[in-house]
This record gives sequence, C-alpha cells and structure tokens, in this order.
Amino acid sequence: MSRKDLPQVVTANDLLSGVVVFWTGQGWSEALADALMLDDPQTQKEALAVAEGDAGRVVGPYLAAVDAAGLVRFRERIRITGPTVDYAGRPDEAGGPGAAAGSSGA
Amino acid sequence: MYRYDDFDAQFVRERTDQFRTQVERRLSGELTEDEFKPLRLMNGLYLQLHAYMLRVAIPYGTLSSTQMRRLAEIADRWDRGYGHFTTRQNIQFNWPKLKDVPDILDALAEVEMHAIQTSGNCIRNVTSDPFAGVAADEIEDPRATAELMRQWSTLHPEFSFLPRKFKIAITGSPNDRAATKVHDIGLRMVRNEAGEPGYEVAVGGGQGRTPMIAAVIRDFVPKADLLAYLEAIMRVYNLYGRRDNKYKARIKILVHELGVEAFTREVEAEFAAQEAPVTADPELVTAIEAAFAPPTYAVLADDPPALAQAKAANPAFKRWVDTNLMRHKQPGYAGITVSLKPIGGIPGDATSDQMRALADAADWFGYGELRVTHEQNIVLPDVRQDRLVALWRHLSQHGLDTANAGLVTDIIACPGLDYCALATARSIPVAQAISNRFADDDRQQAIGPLAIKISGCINACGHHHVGHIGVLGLEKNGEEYYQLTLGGAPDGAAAVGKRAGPGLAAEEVPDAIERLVDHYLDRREDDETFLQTYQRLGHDTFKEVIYAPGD
Repeated sequence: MSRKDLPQVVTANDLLSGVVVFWTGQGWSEALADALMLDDPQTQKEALAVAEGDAGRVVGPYLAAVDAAGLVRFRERIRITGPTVDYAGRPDEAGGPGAAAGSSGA
Repeated sequence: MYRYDDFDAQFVRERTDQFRTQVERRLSGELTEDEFKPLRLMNGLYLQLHAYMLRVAIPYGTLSSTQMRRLAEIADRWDRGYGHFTTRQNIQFNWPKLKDVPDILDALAEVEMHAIQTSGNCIRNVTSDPFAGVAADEIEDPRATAELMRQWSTLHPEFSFLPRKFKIAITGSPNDRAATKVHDIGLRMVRNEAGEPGYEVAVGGGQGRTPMIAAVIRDFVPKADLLAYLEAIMRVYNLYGRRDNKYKARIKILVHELGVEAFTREVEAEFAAQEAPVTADPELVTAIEAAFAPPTYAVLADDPPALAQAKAANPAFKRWVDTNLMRHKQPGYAGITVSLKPIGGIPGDATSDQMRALADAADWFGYGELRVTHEQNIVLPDVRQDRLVALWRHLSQHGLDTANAGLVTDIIACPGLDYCALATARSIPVAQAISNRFADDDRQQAIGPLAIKISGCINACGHHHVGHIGVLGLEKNGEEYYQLTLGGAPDGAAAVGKRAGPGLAAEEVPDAIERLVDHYLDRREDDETFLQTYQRLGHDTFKEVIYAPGD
C-alpha cells in the first residue's frame, strides 16, 4: 500500500512557536493522538483546505500518512519527537521521545 | 577588529525595526505567509522541522568576546541554551519563537551583529581564513578586503535578486584554509612581479548536487580594482545566469555551460566597459585597514622554556599543543583551535556556558577576539605561548580541550534530518558513531590528518564532496542510507571526492571507515597522509575495502 492510500492527518508548524501541530477538526494540537484521521481523499482535501485557511495560527499545512504505528515517514516521526540526538538543551533528558525515534530509524 | 560606523549602525537598526513591524503585520493577519516568508528569510529566519531557526552572520568568521557573550545570552534567554556553529562560519539558533525574533535582532544590533543576507539569492556572508591576520604564511590580512566586500555587497540593489545564492571566500595565504575553490568566487592573495599584493580570482566553484572546482579567470587583480572586477563578474552572472531552473542557476553552471574562456571574455569585456567603475573611498579603506591592525604584541621568543617544561610534565597538554596549535606570525604567540568536536559530541554545537568560557578565554589569553572556522571550531588567534597551559586548564574545565584539530574525529557534519527541513538523512548520529569508534587519542595521532565530512542531503552543507572521506546521507523507501566518497580536498589542489560504490546503512559506516583507515595504515609509506596514500594507490584499492569485511 502506498503512503497516499493510507489514512492521513493534517500537520503544520505553529506560527508563533514553530512547534509541530496537528489538525483536530476544531483546531490544532501538539499531540498526534488528537489529530483527526482522514480516510478518504475527499475529506483529506477538505480538511487541508480548512487548515490552509487558518494561516493566522499555522504555517505550511500538509497531509502526512499514518498507520497503526503512527506517522509513516521517518521524517515525520522526527518532526514530532524532536532531534534523535541528546543535544545540550534537550528539555526531556534521559531518553525521551528522541531516543524512541532513533531506535525506530533505518 | 572592525567596528560599525554610524551608517552600519543605522541601517541595521532600521532593518530590525522594519522586521518588527513585519512580524506584527504577519501576526495580525495583514501579511500572508507567502508575503511574509521572503521577508523573514531576508532576515535569516527559516522554518525547520521542529521550530524556527535563526542564522546569524559572523562576518568572515571574526567576532569579539562581547559578541560571543551576547550569543550566549541569546541562547539562554530565547533559545535552549546552545547554538550551532556552521560551515559558513555563522551561528544558528534552533528554537527561537517568531514573536521573540525582533527582540533577538535588537540584542544582536546592540553588539553590531545581524542576520541579514544569511538566506536568499544574494551575496551571503563573506568567509575567510580563520587564522587571517596571524598566520605565519600570510601575505596580508585579507579581512580588510572582506570587510570592504561586506559593505559593498550588503543591500546592494543590483545584486539582491540574483539567479541564486552567491558565496565568496577570501584568503591571504598561499595555503588555502578557506576552501576558496569551492565557492562561487574564491579570492587568493598573491603578489605581482612588482611585489604588490592583489588577488587571484577563481569563479564557479561549489558543492551541492553539481560539485565543481572554481576556475582561475584572472591571475592578478590589483586590490584597488577588486570591487570593479567583482561587479563585472556579478553583472555577467546576473545577465546570463539561468533563472528557469534553480538546480542550474548557480554561477558554476554558467561557467561550465559557457566555458571558462568565453565566461572570462564576458567578464573582461564588462570590466573594460565600465564607465564609472566602483571604487572604495581611500579614507574608508584606510580606516578599515586600521581596524585590522595587529595588536601591540609583547616582544617574546618562540618556544619559551615554560612551555617545554609544561609539555614534558603533562602528556595530555603536550598532545593538545601538538595538535591544536597554529604557527603565529608573531614570535612567542600561537593561534589555537578550540575543538567543538568532543568525542561523541555534536559537531559545531556549543552551550551558552561554553560560549562564555570562550569569551573569557579571548579576554584573558588574547585581545578579546575569536574566530569561527568553516570546520565548525573556534580559533583563539593571539595566545602567548607561555600562557598556553593556563588556557588549556581553563578550556578543560568547560569540555573544550579536545586535542583533535584536523584529525579523524574533527568531523564536519551538517544538522541533517535531526533539524533540517531539506535533509534526507541524519548526519549527527553518524558523526557521533565515527567519533566514538576513533576515540582513542594515540590511534588518532597515529592516523594523522584525515578529514571526514558528512552531509544529510545533496545540498552538501557538510562539505562531503571535499572530505578525504565524504559521507552523504540519502533516503530510499523510507530508509536512510549513506554514500561514501573518497579523495576530496578543500585546500591546495582542491578536488571533488569520487563516489565509492553502493550506499551503506548507518550502522555500517563506522566499520567501512575503519577498514579504509586500516588499509591506509597498512600501506602508507613514510609520513604519507591518508590523502597522499589514496592518491598514490588509486581509488579502486580503497573502494574495494569498503565492501570487504574481514579483509
């Protein structure tokens, strides 16, 4: 199954902070769990159009594929978990989501 | 070093005020993102994977201790307590919030810094030899010319919308430490037959998806004619450079497609036809040159007894001095490379505490000046040799005493897919794995000079094309993989590395590099470096060992 045949979510970056956010159907959330799952091309197109109309809140909305394990593309997983490396200013010391993304990489 | 004059201070202040208004208009909805994006990019503000990224210009890599402390303050107050020094001798902050950026730009302006022209299709920050002004092999300090070019190219109306971005590098030494041959224009100071200093001009170098070594189009341009000659080059590029395809828009493609001779003819014709060639006001030139006058050095001798005693008493200090010291033009002084490549660390990253420690080092052990290198390290340019041991102790308290300048763990790596929206694969974890593999100091010393450079995509910000061993991260079917190149060199006889067979998984890269290194150690003659042995034995013998586990 190609990525475009999978369910999609709308993701973007928050205008003020730049953090990754997901379209919930009513607004935006930093949690993928809150994202509105879009199963068919028509609802995906409609949701993306609504999200694009919310340019006062977010930057660059687009569709990203999800499966049972979460976001499909490695790039998208890094987007939500943050850098996979233990950088100096990391807010979540001692492993954290970055370590998870690292272990699920290529 | 150069200090802003009233004009500089005013235009930076005006730009900062202007950007504050632009941010307000974006937040109020008055500007769309399509309208705002080019404005933020003109001020160095990108949107990366997780956050905005602000790229701050450090002209020709020179900054004061005051400026370094301000960078630390910005990191603490508006970011996450660290910054990333880049192969463009700039610094990037990875986590600023849009609403804070005008305040950050104000804070930068107060110490004569900005983020203008760190993005966009304009002339970017001019880069230079990090040892400019102090290198023993130098003809003259090239930074006066670099500063003149900064003033000429900043907000230049004719060259603000070029076909593509444009990078100029300049060196005053015959030994190229500024990778000039892989820049759009590379300037190397030479003397003419009369002994006057001027510049050899090379054009059309670059990395990215089409790596090329710049071609020399003029053996000598007098210093007084340099801006006019640069304008001639820029005009030919602006006129004939392709705007229909961004992948063919760099000047290297124009030079390649026209041919060096035809391109040179066009430039020479444009140069000759200038009715009122641009010239710098002699008073301004004198003032700039005075700003780069050397400090008043003490009269000292090289190799003071105290240094020899300290080296004899402390092997770790000796290793650091033998590895990270650059010969200074002034007897009794040294240029020191402070490595930002601790074993297993992130190349180029420095915490705010480390930035302050570096600023302190510049004040306590030098004349308050620091340099950023394109190899993502920091240089302290003027350290008394009899104070090296005190400096080393200070640096060691802040994790800044790694003795690996120019060695296998002094790895260049771009931010890669851990941060960058353009990246196709991660760079940093690969650099860390290689660094950990070669952590042993004695082994590093035995291997000698070896430049490993890693890019996380074809844009080559990690300079992989000119690595003795280059590593290019790519992606296929959702998996990262890494392509090795061999035999590249940024200096002297600059060369683009040659691709070495199929890509490797990330975990295979350290093993492959170890086999390359062992192959070199087994076969080197006398004091040959890795690159010399590679050049003597040829590409194929090295390529084969990459894929021959257990050989």
